[in-house]
Amino acid sequence: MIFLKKYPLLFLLALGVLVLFTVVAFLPTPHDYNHQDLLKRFVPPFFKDGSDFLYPLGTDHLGRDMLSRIMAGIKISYFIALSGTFVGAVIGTLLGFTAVRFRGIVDEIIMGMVDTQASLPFIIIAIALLSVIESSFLVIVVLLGVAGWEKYARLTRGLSLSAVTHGYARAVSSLGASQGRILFIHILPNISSALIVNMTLNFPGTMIAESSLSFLGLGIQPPLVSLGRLLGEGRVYLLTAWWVTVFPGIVIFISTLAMTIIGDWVRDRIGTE
Amino acid sequence: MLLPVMLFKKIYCFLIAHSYFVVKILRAVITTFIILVLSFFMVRASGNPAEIYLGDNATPKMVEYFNKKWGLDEPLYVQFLTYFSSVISGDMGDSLIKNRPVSEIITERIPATLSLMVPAAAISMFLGIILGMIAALHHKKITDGGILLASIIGFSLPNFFFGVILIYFFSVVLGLLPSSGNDSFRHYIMPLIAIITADVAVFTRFTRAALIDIFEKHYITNFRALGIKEKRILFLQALPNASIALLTISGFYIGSLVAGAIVTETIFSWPGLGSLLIASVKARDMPLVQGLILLFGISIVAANLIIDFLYGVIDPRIRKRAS
Repeated sequence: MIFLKKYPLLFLLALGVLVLFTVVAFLPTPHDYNHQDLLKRFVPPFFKDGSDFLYPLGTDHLGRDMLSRIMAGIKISYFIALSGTFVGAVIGTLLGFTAVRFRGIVDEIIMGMVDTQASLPFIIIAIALLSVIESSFLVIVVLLGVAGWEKYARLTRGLSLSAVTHGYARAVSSLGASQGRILFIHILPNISSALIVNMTLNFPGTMIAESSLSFLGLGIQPPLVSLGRLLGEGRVYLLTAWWVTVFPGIVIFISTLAMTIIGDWVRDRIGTE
Repeated sequence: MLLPVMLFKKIYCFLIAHSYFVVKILRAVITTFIILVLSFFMVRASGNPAEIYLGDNATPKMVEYFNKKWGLDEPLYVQFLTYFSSVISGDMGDSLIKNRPVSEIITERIPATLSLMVPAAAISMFLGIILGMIAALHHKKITDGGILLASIIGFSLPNFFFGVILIYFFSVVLGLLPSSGNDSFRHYIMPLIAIITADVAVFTRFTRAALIDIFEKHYITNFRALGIKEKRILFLQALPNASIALLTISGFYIGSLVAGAIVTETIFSWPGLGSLLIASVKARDMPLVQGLILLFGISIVAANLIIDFLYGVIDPRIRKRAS
């Protein structure tokens, strides 16, 4: 991506936006994000007539402050995207190492699982599970983690298999280090850059996956809010109050855009695929 | 006496010679089996069927009769075999809410989904390859940067948000296009735009990356040194080689197409399989959910199998590496 190499400005801007969103999300919210005030239903945002300066981004159908809800939504959406990515990376790396450590039939089974997982889209697996299990915060995080593990497993396995033959791994091995020690203490730091690149590249996808699920009403459940949920709830009132839908949508869009730009930049910088 | 041995040897040799295809078919069969098992347990895990069907007021006698009638008193593996054979014969039970066979409800909805997805996939692929080619030809120039930035934006724009924006402008503000249903050509415009915007971005990025990769290969440099025109190299040398990478993407793409269908159909109240799935999950209509998951899962496996076969046909090297 020579374009971004030429213009790291874009990267700095993206990073700045993400930091800004996070900082704003952690400021105290002007109102309780679930506080309803039926006298203040559908207050328009600050630039429209009839706005209320206490509700700069307007209110929704129950008179809840949109700014507070978006702030709470950012916190939860970012947290889920982060932890989902992390869970996926940990599961995938561990399974990748397991495949390398034991080889043979274990390797075959794990790679078979990788293939199966890769061929079924996340949303189908998620819907199948969520139709059985009650959706909750933890379930969503685990689900998103499980959705992403297969790339890390493939990556870890491939890189470790070639790393095992390298001089340093052989040297430690001849000193009597166990297989597990070689993998975790010596090989992991050497392949971590590729794993980190994969994490940054996966991050926006995880965020979109969570938002899609919440948008469909299968993800985060009330009283918690996520950005996708806000969008899904507000969609019904598009005719009367577009701001309830559009503001959370813009935040999702800008966040995923920023994450994609950062991911691409990191990949080009570290230079691994 | 010799005949069976020779036959066996012949079959064995055939399998070895075509091991690439055999392995792929085996994998597909295993995946299908896993999907079947998961869908079987999905319904079992959602609660006791007798409780769901009969409600809380059922007497023990009613429950016993119910279990006997549906074979729920049999061992689990017998139940699974019954389920397996009924699925093979196309019988997936009755919907709890609509009181009609699941297979009938699903069949009604298939045309709506296909009529949206097939054109969307074809247009996305076509536009994506063209844009990717243009970007690769103008590598490191402003056109390339522009296309790349546009594709990043298209990729980051969640289709549920973009769909809502489209509805707001074209249906609410301008009143030009209908926001739900699939009755006329005009109904197709917004859903198509919503799907294509995201998918073109994916194809553009991959075509561009694949072509740039190939342009750096020695044989391309050789053609350039021979003075062959850039466009000729692109169409006759680079593009056929890039088609392998594109095929890989198509495999992943089918999954994302299904995912996109579910979201897009929900936004535009499209009477297809995706919106049906979401509606039946929310209504806890388990037989219908089960049928739809099976259908989606198996069609994805089948599509991937076809793609794997095409791989083997297009690039003999892959066949050799696998065996």
